[in-house]
This record gives sequence, structure tokens and C-alpha cells, in this order.
Amino acid sequence: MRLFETVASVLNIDAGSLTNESNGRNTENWDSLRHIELILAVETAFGVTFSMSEMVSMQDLGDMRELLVEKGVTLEKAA
Amino acid sequence: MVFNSYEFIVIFLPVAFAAVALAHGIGGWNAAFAVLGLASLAFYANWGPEFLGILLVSIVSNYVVGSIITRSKENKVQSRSLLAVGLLGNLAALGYFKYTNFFIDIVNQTAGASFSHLSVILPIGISFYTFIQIGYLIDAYNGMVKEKSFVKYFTFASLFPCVTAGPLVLQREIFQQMEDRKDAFLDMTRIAAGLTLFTIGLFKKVVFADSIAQYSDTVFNGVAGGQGLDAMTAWFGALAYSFQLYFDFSGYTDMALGLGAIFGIMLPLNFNSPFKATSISDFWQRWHMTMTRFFTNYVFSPMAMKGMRRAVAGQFGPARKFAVSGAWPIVFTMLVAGIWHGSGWVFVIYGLIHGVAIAINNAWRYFNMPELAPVTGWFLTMLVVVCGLVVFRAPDVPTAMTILTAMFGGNLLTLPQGIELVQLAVADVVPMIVLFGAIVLLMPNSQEIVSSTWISTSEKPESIGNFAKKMLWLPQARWGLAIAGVFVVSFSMIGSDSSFLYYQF
Repeated sequence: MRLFETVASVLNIDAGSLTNESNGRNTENWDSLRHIELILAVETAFGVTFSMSEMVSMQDLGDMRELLVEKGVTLEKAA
Repeated sequence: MVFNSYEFIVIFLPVAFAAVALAHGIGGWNAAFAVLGLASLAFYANWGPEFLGILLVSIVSNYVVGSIITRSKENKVQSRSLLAVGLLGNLAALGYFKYTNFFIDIVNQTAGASFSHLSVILPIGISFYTFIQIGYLIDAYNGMVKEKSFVKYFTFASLFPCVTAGPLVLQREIFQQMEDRKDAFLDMTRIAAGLTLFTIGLFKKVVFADSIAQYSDTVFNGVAGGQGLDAMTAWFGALAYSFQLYFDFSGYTDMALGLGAIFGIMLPLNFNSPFKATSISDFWQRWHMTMTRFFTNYVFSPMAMKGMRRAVAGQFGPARKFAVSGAWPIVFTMLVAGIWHGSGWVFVIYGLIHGVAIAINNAWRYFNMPELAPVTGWFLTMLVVVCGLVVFRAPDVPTAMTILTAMFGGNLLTLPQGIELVQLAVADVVPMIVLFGAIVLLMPNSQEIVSSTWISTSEKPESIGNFAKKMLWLPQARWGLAIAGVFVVSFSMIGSDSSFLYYQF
């Protein structure tokens, strides 16, 4: 499943509006509670777990993508 | 020595600046950071040698514990035990200095005992420097601390712009700026922007906050002293205090960020037009932002994550899921944040009011309720904020209750009989409230005004409003003259005894 689609479905927004720079400050519906839900949804979708420090240090979707790649997840180019 | 004092502005600031500049000239940035640490010590020592001793013990012990945690990260049991020791040590010290007498009160009230209060000193800034270092320990445990130098740690933990009342900086945002630093110390544009922000903050504090303080004091001290009041006086007192705290704390924050920039250390934003917030969650993203960030990262998120995992594993329904992962963590977090401000039931209630309000706000969005019009959201937010601040300012719960009851018409039909009423100079306070309201709601904020030279670690806003563009500060002679004028007015109005309100926390 593509990263942006997973995120968009949690935030209930259009996946096309997301970029690598999307974060809680510039994205609709992305508050601290949705952030937790979003991380859990990404964990389930990609079969990984994030530690507390990774969760706190993720500033935007670009960071999340990098962490997923570090954990060995293969993402489609435009995902 | 407070930022808004003659000795700070005329003696400490120029001497410290010259010393750090000289150190930079001789030994580069590393020498400059070391001397900045020494200057911070001198600044803090001015509050008293016993306070300095407590700060030094705190810095050295946290550095030692943090370094061992970092070194033993492969051994989870050891690093976890050390983290527990570090956290307990910090919280025990904070508890002793800040909450001893509150505990005694609770024991006396519940057990009918009559222990007398101990004469415990409250070291200035202890809540701030303790939490800054707790953040360091947790980051060390999570393997996020790269810096090993004691000198740099010392400067980070004692940094004079933040040591007394924040911002609550994170280790990485300060240490990153200390790494391989090559830029000039005497960067005149950065220094000019820092001086401008400092001057705006000084003006907010000594001209705005200190002028309206007398009216909030009249109402709160009057009621605490047994006087009664009508609804109008209660509202004016509540609003006067709201503006006093706003300008006091945002003034302090501007001065702190400005001072950081003057010395080459950028600090995170702490205040972003909070009275423009259209929801209570939005308010906490704008008011004391670094405190919100601290409690979100270190209290709310771990609790919410745990709750969310439980909810998923147990296949909870939406309401129960929200309760364990959203409502309870936020109420608990705000309760802790409330108590962090000070000892006393008023802070417990203050935290609960905000915790419940944010939980309602979150539930509203979580269950996809229809969005409120911005003006309705703003009104409800300000209602919670102003009422919350009545509790926050009141010396005790009965005083808060008397003022809140009066605000909501409790005395509308019959004014309190047989007691003296608070006498407020309404003709003086109303124009001030109107003026301050217009400023905080319509004007661009200070960091927008100086945003042409961005002097913060926080993200620069993508765009600023048209009004802010018209007021945009530029390093030019005409701005220099204008800010010099603001400085002269503020400097001449510095009072002899005007500490920052957040110094008591």
C-alpha cells in the first residue's frame, strides 16, 4: 500500500494534496491524536514498528519515508 | 537581575557581549560558547549563591547521568535504570523545592494534622532548567544525543536567555548550532534583528504589561482580601490579567529570542499570537509553544501511543478508543502541565479545565462533528482561556470562585451586602483593554515583524499577511531610529520592582 494513501485515509483527505513536506502544521486534520493514529496505520500497513524516539523525531512525511526505507520497506517511487 | 532592569541592560549585556566577542576573536565559536556559559553563570549567580549551587549540582549530575546513559545504550536494562534514577532525581529535587508546602497542606487538610510550613527556597527557573535537562536524559536514552562535551552541555543547560523562564529548548536544537560553527560572530544583521526583538519585548513588558498590572492586582487582591465585586468589575479584572500575562510572557519571550540571536544562538518560537486562536488546541500551539511541545513529546505521545495500541489490540469501539488514546492522555498531560506551573489547587484546576476543553475539542474533530464558524471557535476558546486565567492568577480557589461567579452573573440581582466592593478605575482600564485587544487581534506579531531576518530554530512561516509586510523590519537607518525611540521610551519606564510573572513557576 502506498504511503500517501495510508496517510490520506487516516486524515480523511485527498492523497494528491500530500507531499514529502506535509506535516502537522501544514496539513488539514493532522493533529497530535491523528499523528498517533497515522503512525499506527503506517506500522500496520508496512509491517514495521516505530520507537518513541522515531515517532518524536519525524517532522514530516519525508522523514517517515526515510525511516521506512531504513527499516527495509520498498516504496514505489511516487508512493 | 531581570532582562528589564538597568543593571542587565547597562552592565551585564554589554560586558557579556564584549567578553563573548573577544573569546570568539581569540578562540572561535568553541571559546565563545564557553564564555557564554560563564556569562550565564554570572547572570544566574546574581539571584543568590544558594541558587547557583543548586543549578550547578543539577547540571553536573544530569550531565554525568546523561553521558553514562548514552554510553550504555547497548545495555537496555542499565540505561533504563539510569534513566529512572535521573528522572526521579530531577523530580525529587523539583518536588522538594516547589511542592513541599503544598504536600504539607494536603496532609493537614486530609488528616487533620497541623504541620507548619517549611522555609524552602524556590530557586528561580528550576521548573525550566529541570525540564530542559529531563528532555536531555530522555533523548540520551533514545540514542538521540550526539554531543559529548561538558563545556557545551554546561552552556546549553545554563544558557542565560532561557534559564529563568524558557523557552524549553531541546538538546538537539542547541547542540546542532554548536557543531562546526564557522559564521561570523559579529553578524550585524542578525544582531540588529536580535536587538529589535529584544526592544519590542522590553516595550511589551514595561509599557503594556506593567501598566495594566495595577488593575488586575486591584481586583484579585481585593477579592482575596474579602472585598466583593459586580460582573463588570470581575470581567475587567479577568481581562486585565489576561492581557498582563500575555504581554509579560510574550515580552519575556521576545527578549529571550532576541538575546539568543545577539549571542548567536537561535531559540525556538514560544509565542505566536495565541489570542488569535480559533480552537483551544490551536491556542496551545501558539501559547508557551515549547512547553506544549515538551509535554506532547514526553507525556502525551507515549501515553496516547500506548492507549492506541491497546485499543487496536482489544478492538475497542470508537468511543472507547478515543477515551484511552485521546481523552485520558490529554487530560492527564494538561493536569501535569498545570501542576508544573506551581503548587496549589488552583494549578490543578487550571490544568483540568484545559485538559477537558482540549479533550472536547479533539472529540469534536474525531467524531466528525460539524465545524464551528471561526468566530464561534474563537469566542469559546477565549472564554476558556480567560476563565482559566482567573483560576491561574487567583491566590486560592475561593478567590477564583468568587470572581468567576461574579463574571457569570452570580451577583447580578443582589450585590454582596455588608462588605466593601472592589473599586476599579473603569475609565482607565477600558481604553487599555480595547487598545490591547486591537493589538493582539489585528497587529502582526513581533516575529512576523522581524521575519526578514529569521532568528529562530522554528520553521519560518511560508508567508506573512499584508499588514505584516507593511510593518516588516529591515536593517535600515529609519528602522534603527524607530526602534531606538521605542527603546528610549521603554528604558525610561523600567520600574524598580517588576519581575516576570513566569519567574514564579
